[in-house]
Amino acid sequence: MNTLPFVRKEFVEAPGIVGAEWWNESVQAPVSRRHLLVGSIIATSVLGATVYVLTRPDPTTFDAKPSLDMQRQFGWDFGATDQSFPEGATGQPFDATLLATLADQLRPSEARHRPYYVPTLFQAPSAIPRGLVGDGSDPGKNLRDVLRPVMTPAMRTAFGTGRGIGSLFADLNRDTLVIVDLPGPESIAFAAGASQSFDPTFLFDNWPHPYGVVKAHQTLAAALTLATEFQNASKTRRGDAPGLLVLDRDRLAPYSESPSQFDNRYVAKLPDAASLRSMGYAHVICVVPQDGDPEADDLNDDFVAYQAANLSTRLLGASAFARDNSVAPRPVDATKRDYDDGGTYAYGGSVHTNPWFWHHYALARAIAPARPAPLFRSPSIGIAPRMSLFSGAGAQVAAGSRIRPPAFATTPVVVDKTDGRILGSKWTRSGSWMRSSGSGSG
Amino acid sequence: MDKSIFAMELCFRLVANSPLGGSLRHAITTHPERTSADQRSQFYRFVTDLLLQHLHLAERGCWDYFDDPSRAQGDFDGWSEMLSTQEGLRTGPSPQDPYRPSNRYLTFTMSMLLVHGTPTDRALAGVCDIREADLWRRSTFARILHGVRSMSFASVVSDVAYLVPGDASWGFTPEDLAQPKFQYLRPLMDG
Repeated sequence: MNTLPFVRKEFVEAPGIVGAEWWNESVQAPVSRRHLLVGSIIATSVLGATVYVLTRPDPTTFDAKPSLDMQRQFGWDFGATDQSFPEGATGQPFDATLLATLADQLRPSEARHRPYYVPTLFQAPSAIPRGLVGDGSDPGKNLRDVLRPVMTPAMRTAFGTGRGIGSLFADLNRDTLVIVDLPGPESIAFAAGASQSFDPTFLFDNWPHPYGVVKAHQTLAAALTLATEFQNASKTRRGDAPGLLVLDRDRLAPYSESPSQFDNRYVAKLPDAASLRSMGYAHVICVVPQDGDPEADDLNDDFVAYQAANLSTRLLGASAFARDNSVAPRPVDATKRDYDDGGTYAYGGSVHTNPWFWHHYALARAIAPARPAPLFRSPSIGIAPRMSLFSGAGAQVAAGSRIRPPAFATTPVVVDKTDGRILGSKWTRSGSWMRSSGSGSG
Repeated sequence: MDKSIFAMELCFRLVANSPLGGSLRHAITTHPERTSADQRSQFYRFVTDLLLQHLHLAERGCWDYFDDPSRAQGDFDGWSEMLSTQEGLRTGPSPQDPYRPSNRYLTFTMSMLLVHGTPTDRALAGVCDIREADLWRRSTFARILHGVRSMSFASVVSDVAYLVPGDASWGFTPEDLAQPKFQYLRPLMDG
């Protein structure tokens, strides 16, 4: 018998790493029957031959479940109950009493827009998990306790830009639908600025997660910060305001399956062309970050369909609006409205180039205004069909359904094979729910 | 032959004059190329004693125990392939700003492939039977280290141990550890 059965199989000694791997030659042969019985106990009873065996069946398997379903069932921080968001507060405290009623507070004012309102994100703070994972000893944190106010320079600019486009549409007819598709917090700020003229309809269809690739907690915090602005605007806004669909451009953020990423992505659910027509819309403008940016992949099919139905569909770079510093700033109480810098934001960066918006977008007036033109040309990026992971390739898709790549917005879980019970996230590093199981009779 | 797998990785803050890195390096590099099961046990008693003595400096870590034969070999291969791929390691000394000194870190990783169902395997399974709320407590890591310390290696199929970096001047910076590839190393909770 080899008294030195452990042999060093690999060895490295370098400044970056020092390590070795050893191999036990004495257990490399097929395990003898004696070793198999080490883990078994055989007993007999006076009533006959019975067997009490400590068995190790494999009780679990892996599966991929919709991420949002797992969060709704087990908590927003499913699989990461000991983690929180790394960012600290960057804005003024928000009204915590809004957390419980946020979804109702931010509902569209116009009844025709309400069927397209997606309140999922705003429901997260008040949701109660329906079940417990594992042994239920750790129910996770309350989302309300870890949300932090957010306010950034980009949000202030977006708010000003929203005001700018809102002022352009203040006195016009209501046949233009605007879609804003910026990073979540900036879309929220843009919508708040534009809410003087538009009826915001939010389409955020996910929940925050500590490892979420979509930073939905920042979008949620922005909504809480600006909720009062939305409420006040709804009281003073003209009736029959045109719609402003609010999207998070980061909803399709890159994702790869790993312990440090949670797939909380989603696709946008826009009204179809017939619905837009029935609501009285003839034009669609989608606000993207920069002039020249295309629409997001999950919007291409919708926009191509809009054009096919003779709904003019154009892209507008938010960067086409800039603050006109020749206009004196409005007085703003910064202690209450730190998102409003008091500036006047105009198309082309000047109130004198503002009217060129109508010429470039041919919405109201086609005559070139007798004013200085913006330094940039008329936007030329049009809508064309393109292939992506979200393309339907012309296939008929049921209303409300969207093409998604395989395994999109799912999370790997451990499932008990005997009863289908979900034991936890695959990435929860423990053996606590993979215990040996025993059975016996006697 | 069915197998189980155990693994632990700890990330320690480097402090001046600490013997941790040097002692771990010495233990690995001086261990004979061919040894007995008792000598392997002694190696891990020495290593776990060191880790326990310095556990207060451990800021992040992770551990695994799976008695799933279908994944044990694959997981062990994943831990051990670091020796050959050296993926994600620093490629040079970590710069230090003399006006803004920051911490440096090392990691120690050990992983064992065990024969499924043996008393050693079942004992380790019992040690690793931790409720979810305690998974990343420092006391949990201590409990598991004590369990490894008393292991018999007669039914260990293979094991791997490595220290990153081998040279303290190559220690991980806080910026290194903030990268997504290190997110699996979670902060230890006191208690």
